[in-house]
Amino acid sequence: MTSACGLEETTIDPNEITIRISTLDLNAMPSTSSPSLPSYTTPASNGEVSEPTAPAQPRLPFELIRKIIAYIEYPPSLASCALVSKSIHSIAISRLYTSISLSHAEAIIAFVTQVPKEKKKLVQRAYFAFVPEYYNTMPIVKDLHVDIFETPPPGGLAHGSLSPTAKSNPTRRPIECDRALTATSLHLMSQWSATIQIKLLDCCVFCATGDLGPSGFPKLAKCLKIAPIVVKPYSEGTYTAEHLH
Amino acid sequence: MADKPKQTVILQTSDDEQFTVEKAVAERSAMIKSMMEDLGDQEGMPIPLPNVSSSVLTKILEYCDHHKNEPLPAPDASDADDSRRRTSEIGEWDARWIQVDQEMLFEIILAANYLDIKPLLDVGCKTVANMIKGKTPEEIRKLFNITNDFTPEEEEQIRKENEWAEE
Repeated sequence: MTSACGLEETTIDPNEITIRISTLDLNAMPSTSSPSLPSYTTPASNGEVSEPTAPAQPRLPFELIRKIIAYIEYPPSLASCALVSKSIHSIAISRLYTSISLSHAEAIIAFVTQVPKEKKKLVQRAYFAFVPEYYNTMPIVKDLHVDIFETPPPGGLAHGSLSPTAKSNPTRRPIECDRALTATSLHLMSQWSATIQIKLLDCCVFCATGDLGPSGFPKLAKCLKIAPIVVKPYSEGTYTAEHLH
Repeated sequence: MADKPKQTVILQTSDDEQFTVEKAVAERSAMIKSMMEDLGDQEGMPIPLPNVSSSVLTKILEYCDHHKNEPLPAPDASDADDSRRRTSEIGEWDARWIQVDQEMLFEIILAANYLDIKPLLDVGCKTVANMIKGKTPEEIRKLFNITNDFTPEEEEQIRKENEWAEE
């Protein structure tokens, strides 16, 4: 499956979480020894200006741009880089999706609903943090860090976060997860028709396999610790949720 | 007793200027170090640096002189190791030293890459990475002189895909 930006293939090794992305543009990448690279030499200062005969070259070789992007840690900046060009997109996306931090409910919803399946796979290790069997086998689970907020805090993103890292008990989901899930579900519902009634049974958006079910939701892996949730239209534009224990 | 005279090496830039440089300073460049080894005993033979101008070399030598007593990075240090040490933080002296105009900054990065001075390349790349923060895609395109090859539809699709990453 190929997305609009040319992302063609993604393979995941669940043990090593090795990510390989091949894009249509990778073959066109210049190597550091390519003769098409811009000259390292400062132009002569004799005042002569030659007429350009070829399209403008990037100011840095592709490999150096790749190195620069590897130092970017700020997701919005990586998202901006992803829009620069097709070749930059492939670098920025692999960095963006492996340093994912879904910091609030809207981000989770946007991620679940908008990101294509092949790109979602890039962050499966974040999902796997919630699944006990993967939790125990993940060798780099200490690197996992997904901030979840019950609601986006008005003053910023510094409060009420839950970090389901290796410190969390893998056999007992923290209650904050359920609340975050409920909040997330409600946000998700609010984007849907006000008359629709959807059941989320034995499922958890964080355990998504990436496959979409008939309702348009991700086809969800079973999570033993999450209570079934029913979301009902309550009144005009308002939704509520109840846990069915 | 007089100090032992410092060993020096001559570097010749693209604009034919020659710099007599302390060996310990020049050896910050893995490329120059390797050339010095190749030249062996041919003392006084200038090492040509056809891809570096005198203005850029002057600046780079300042950096190398400041860091000459630090251990050299392992020659086999891989990018994977680099990525583990990834941080956008830059040392205080380096941050002051690299406060140059954009043109010079890119020249320094290119020269550091050519001369194979890994710590300097890192400082340059981190500086540009920090500059990118808050820039729009169009501003980043201008920074790198890159042409947008997305269609408006593709751009819209990518914007949707990355909504979760926005502020």
